Amino acid sequence: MNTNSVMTLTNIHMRFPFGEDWRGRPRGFVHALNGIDLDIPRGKTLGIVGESGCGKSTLAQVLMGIRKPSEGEVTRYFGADHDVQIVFQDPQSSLNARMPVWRVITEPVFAVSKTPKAELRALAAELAAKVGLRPEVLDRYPHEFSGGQRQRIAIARALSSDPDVIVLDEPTSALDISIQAQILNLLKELQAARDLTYIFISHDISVVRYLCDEVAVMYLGQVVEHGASEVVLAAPRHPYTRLLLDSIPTMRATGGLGEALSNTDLPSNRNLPAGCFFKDRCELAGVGCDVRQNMVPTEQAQVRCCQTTAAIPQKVPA
Amino acid sequence: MSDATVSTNPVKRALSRVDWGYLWYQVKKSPLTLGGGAVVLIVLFLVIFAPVFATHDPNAIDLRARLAAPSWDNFFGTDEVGRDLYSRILYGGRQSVAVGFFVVVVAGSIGTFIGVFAGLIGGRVDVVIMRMMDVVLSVPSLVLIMALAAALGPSLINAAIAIALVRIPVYVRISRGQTLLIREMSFVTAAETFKASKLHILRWHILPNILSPVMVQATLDLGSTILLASALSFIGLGAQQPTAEWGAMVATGRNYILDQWWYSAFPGFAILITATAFNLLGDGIRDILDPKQKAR
Amino acid sequence: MSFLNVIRRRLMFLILVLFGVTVITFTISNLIPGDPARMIAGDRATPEIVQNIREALGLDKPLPVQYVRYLEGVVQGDFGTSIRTRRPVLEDLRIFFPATLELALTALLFATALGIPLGVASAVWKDKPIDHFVRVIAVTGISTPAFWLGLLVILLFYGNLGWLPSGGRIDPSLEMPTRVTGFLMIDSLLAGDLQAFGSALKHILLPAFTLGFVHLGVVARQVRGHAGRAAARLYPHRQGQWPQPLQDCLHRGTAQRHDPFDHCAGSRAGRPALRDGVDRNRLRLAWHGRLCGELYSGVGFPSGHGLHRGGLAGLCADQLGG
Ligand SMILES: Nc1ncnc2c1ncn2[C@@H]1O[C@H](COP(=O)(O)OP(=O)(O)OP(=O)(O)O)[C@@H](O)[C@H]1O
Ligand code: SF4
Ligand SMILES: [Mg+2]
Repeated sequence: MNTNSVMTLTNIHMRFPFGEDWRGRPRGFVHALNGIDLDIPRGKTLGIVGESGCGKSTLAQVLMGIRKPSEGEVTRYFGADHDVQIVFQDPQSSLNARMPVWRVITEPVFAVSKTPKAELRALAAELAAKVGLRPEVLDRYPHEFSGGQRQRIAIARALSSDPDVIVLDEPTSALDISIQAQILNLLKELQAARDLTYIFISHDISVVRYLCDEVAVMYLGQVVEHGASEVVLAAPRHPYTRLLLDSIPTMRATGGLGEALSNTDLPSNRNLPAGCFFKDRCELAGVGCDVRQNMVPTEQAQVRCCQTTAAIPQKVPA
Repeated sequence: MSDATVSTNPVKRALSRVDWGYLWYQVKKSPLTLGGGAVVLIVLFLVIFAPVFATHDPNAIDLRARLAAPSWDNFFGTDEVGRDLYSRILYGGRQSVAVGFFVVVVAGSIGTFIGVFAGLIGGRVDVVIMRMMDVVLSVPSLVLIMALAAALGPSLINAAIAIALVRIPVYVRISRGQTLLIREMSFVTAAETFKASKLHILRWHILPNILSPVMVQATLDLGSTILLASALSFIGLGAQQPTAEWGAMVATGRNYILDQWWYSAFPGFAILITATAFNLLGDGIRDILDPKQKAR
Repeated sequence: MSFLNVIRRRLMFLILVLFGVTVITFTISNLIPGDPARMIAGDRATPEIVQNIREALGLDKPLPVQYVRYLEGVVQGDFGTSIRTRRPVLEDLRIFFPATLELALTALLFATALGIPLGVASAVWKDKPIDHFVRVIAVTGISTPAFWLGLLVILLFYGNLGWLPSGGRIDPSLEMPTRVTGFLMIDSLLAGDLQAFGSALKHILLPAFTLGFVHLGVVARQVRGHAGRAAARLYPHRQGQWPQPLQDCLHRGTAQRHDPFDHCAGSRAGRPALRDGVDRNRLRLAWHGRLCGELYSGVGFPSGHGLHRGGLAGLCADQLGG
């Protein structure tokens, strides 16, 4: 229906049972995703931001199709399933130390079809060149490489099945700043050359601002604000987005988003709040906030908040 | 280029992945491991080429030379029917070493198979398998082995089968634990996103990664198996006459211990040397490959 | 709540294990070749007599029925009758078990009295000569065939030196002390019979040394591991290096008299770790004690039928004893 999208998520819920009483019944559920509606724009980069535990990685797994949502639907507008690939945050555990690099890179290919070795090696060499690895690395093993190089290997692997979509789950957060920049530039080049769609999950607002066309802000398993990144990140309309942006300076200092926000805690995702999920932490809370909020389209972005129609200005530091 | 060097044999491939340089560097730092390894090699060499090193036919009876003391003719003396103990010990080593490797290979491969299966399948099957293994492990293994060996009938191969059966749960535990661990690694998650089959994940991710802990355990088991098999032979549940076997020789020699000490002493010493060498090697290899398990 | 759950699970598992053990024991006792009825009747008995015995023992019934009967007996404390000694297994156990336990405990005493100081020493002087020495002792210990070492010490101390006896529990010419605990050394002391005590002690020295030596190194290695971990926990900033006071203590030679953790580190944290290491060993020791005890007490090893259905009883008794 929508030719501008590669995937559409409709009302995605994801619950994990936890605990077991003595009869083996779950004690309750972790509500990781609570109604996600999202269009993934073709050929663009959609950033997903939010603090730790808000469900970003779970969303990535749903997008990858490795987890079936408890509720809701994922519609894909392209053929074979493995046209979505993923790059993980931790380059240490995402590459099997017992495979030579050329095998690692071409795994998405030979995992699903018998391909002659010579072909695989040729493909590996080609991809290695694309991501800036020298051809002689192909016969070495992943543990011989630095974090940045390993992430290049992971990216090469994601490219090997010629995917339409690549999910990048915090691909640079384990890397030094200078290496980060190299990897981000590499991602940009690859996107331009291959018409790739990226879903870029990150803690780091400035990286998102640099790379993403659109951004979706997540809070407690919901998208609370979604729109063009220059709009959302410059003139946020949701109090939570405002809070995220305001916390960047402290984040730089402390090195983590969670810490900056920890003066107010993320509510438990085991028992969901009754009204607006953000109410307990929200400075603007008032009448109307006692009910669940829906996404409200404004001119430039969608916002899940009943109170705001205009951008919230940055608080002037006292 | 290196296509040709990558073997299709999983063991060879795993070995080709071992960082031999690093291993050698570590082994060199540990003289005990080195010594153990050297003695293991010597024992294997002597035992494999027993016909070359033996001075007599191990089963040749010479009643005129009964219970002769060690001499230039019979390095370790002779037994009650005049057989040369030195030659019998060389040949007897074949039994011990063969039992050791048999047990380790059989228990290791069956146990690994079950463990990986349980770990991959999960759910009820896994629970049932692991409870069964727990039951076997909760019965003292020595008693179980003796009972099984007795039930199967006294012979060395039955003793070996009994030991192997009782050792299986150890390998099931190791390989299942490792399988569960690796299944959670994100390279397996990644493989799942490629729509890789369980078989692919098993072949490329699980097996290569569990091989080294299993091999460490196997090396450690070699020494204790050799000891156990000889103990079973000693109490009559293993090798039977006239087979030359160390434990059985110590048992017969017991009748002559006060006057012909060499009869029991040399075969027992052979057990001690061999088991010590294998254990030193196993201990050292574990320390190197599996530092977390150190000194347990 | 969750605590109760844990207990419930444990209990359920224990029942399962016991059930499994009975199945294993029963299966094995039936797998052992030979006909118990024929054994009891003797070689010259007529087929009718054998048949009668078989029926009397219920051996003609199908195996599942036999198993249920066996289980009933076990629940009532009847572990069956040993075909070899023709006494109830429980009675056999009552007779032999104290001897085994006495030997095992003496061996344990020997192994821990030497093993703990050695283990602590090798933890303190890690990778120093003493550590290597303990490692060699440990590996040699677990690699030594106990049955062979036993022969060698008999050869030396009985055959060559004539200092110690070669078998038995006490000099046959002496009167056995009245049975109280079943431990000869304790009973003889209770009876005030120093001569009997001396003889019992002499008789137990060789087997206890043999057994203890085999385990000495294992104890030492385990203590080393636990002590090292305890040190790492107590002094994380030292990365496993020992605190100076402890080293001092050991230098002053107090290690043998005091628990070094108690005395020096002033912490109780190290103690459970030590005890844990020793405890786990105790069980294993008890088992080896059983094997070797039988070897040395001249009973001879019960091969074949001797194992019979005493297996389970033996298991329980040894678990209790260990
Ligand atoms: N398999 C699972 N079983 C139970 N709970 C889960 C599972 N996976 C995720 N969760 C829970 O779902 C919530 C969202 O987790 P998720 O990993 O998606 O967060 P995240 O936004 O990626 O966090 P981070 O930034 O730390 O990676 C968390 O509370 C987590 O505990
Ligand atoms: S709905 Fe109310 S509570 Fe929720 S974010 Fe908006 S203002 Fe805050
Ligand atoms: Mg995550």
